[in-house]
Amino acid sequence: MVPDWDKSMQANRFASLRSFFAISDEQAMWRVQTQADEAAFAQLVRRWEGPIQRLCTRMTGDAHRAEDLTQETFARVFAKRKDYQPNGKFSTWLWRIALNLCCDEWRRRQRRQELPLDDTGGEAAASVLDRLAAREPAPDESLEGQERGALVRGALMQLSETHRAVLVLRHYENLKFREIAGVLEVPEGTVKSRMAEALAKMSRLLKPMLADGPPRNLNIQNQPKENLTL
Amino acid sequence: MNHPNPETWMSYLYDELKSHERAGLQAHLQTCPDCAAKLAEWQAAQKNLDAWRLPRAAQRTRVAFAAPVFKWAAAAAILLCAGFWEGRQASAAARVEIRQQLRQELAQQFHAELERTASATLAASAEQTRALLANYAAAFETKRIADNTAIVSALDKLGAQRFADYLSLKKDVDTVAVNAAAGFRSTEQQLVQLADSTPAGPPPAHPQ
Repeated sequence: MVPDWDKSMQANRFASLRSFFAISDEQAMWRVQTQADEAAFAQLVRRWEGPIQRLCTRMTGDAHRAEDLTQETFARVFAKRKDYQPNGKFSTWLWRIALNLCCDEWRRRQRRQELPLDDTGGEAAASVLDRLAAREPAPDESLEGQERGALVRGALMQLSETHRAVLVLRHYENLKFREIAGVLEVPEGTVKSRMAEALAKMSRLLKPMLADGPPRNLNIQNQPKENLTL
Repeated sequence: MNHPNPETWMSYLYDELKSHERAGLQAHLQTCPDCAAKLAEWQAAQKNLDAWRLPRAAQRTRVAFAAPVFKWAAAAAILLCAGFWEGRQASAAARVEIRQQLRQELAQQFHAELERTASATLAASAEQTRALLANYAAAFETKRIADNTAIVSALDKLGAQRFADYLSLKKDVDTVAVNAAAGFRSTEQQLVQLADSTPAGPPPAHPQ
């Protein structure tokens, strides 16, 4: 799969020149696998660094850690290049590696209690949202937008890994449900039902704060707690 | 009324249905307030998700990737202009030759740039991997030395304990031997005394 930014690159005036050198992801990975072709690997890194970093950021909620995870992902791709099945899509394999690393990271952080627990941690969820919402209302639009974004991120981090993975891949990375099923190795129906559950949980979490356009002074401390728990 | 399941609504929400399936669901929405409410809830969540925007990290990659392209494109434009001007002066055959040379040079330069970028990326990765391996090796060596020290210490302690046990046992055996020898001597003296103090009488009568 070619990411969106790459599609836009192809539309520019250098498209013909660039396409002269372009090879598919699968061809590049085949070269990496059979010849340890560094140029082909560098090309894969350039194509996929952005999407993988976005995925890691959405999955962990930490942009700095996401950079490390992105590097780890590509290091693992190179180390495990012999395991790649040439009849499969490279992107599916890559997403899976990145997701596994994100989940490992998430569990490590949970063990170290750096993060609140997921669905079961209702009070923890509320405290994160309280903390995010306890700020003073911002007078200008951009700050308000940032605060809304922070609220959404906080709510997303309260979802379970399985729900968050489905939601991030479908909503933010725009993968089809069929492709997500391939990445997660579960039936497509399971992916869709998880998506419905994830959206319902996000709605329950965010409704009290974001229902009426701009955040209502972003003050949720007087809201009933059951609205904040999953 | 048969309600479509949530899985179907997800396909509707993310526009993964065929047109006739979509039309069927839209017709259902007109008559089913329950499904309409559920869909509105999902749509609200969907809309809220868009509030979390990332700083476009991908752009950095794109710019980094695009920069050499622009650089070489600028070089190519200059070369092409020079070539065009030169070509105007030259014959048709010379123009073809120049064009081919330019094409080859551009291709070589582009390849060289691609290889340079790839090598830089891999060199950085290799450097990081080497550093990680060095850290791991150092940690492993430290742990191994600590383990060896602990094992040697434990063995020394065990040996000392066994030697102390041996000495204690030997002392006990010696004590028993000395006590036994003294007992034998005492018994022997008592037997001698008993023999000396017995009076000499007539020999005992034997029955006929």
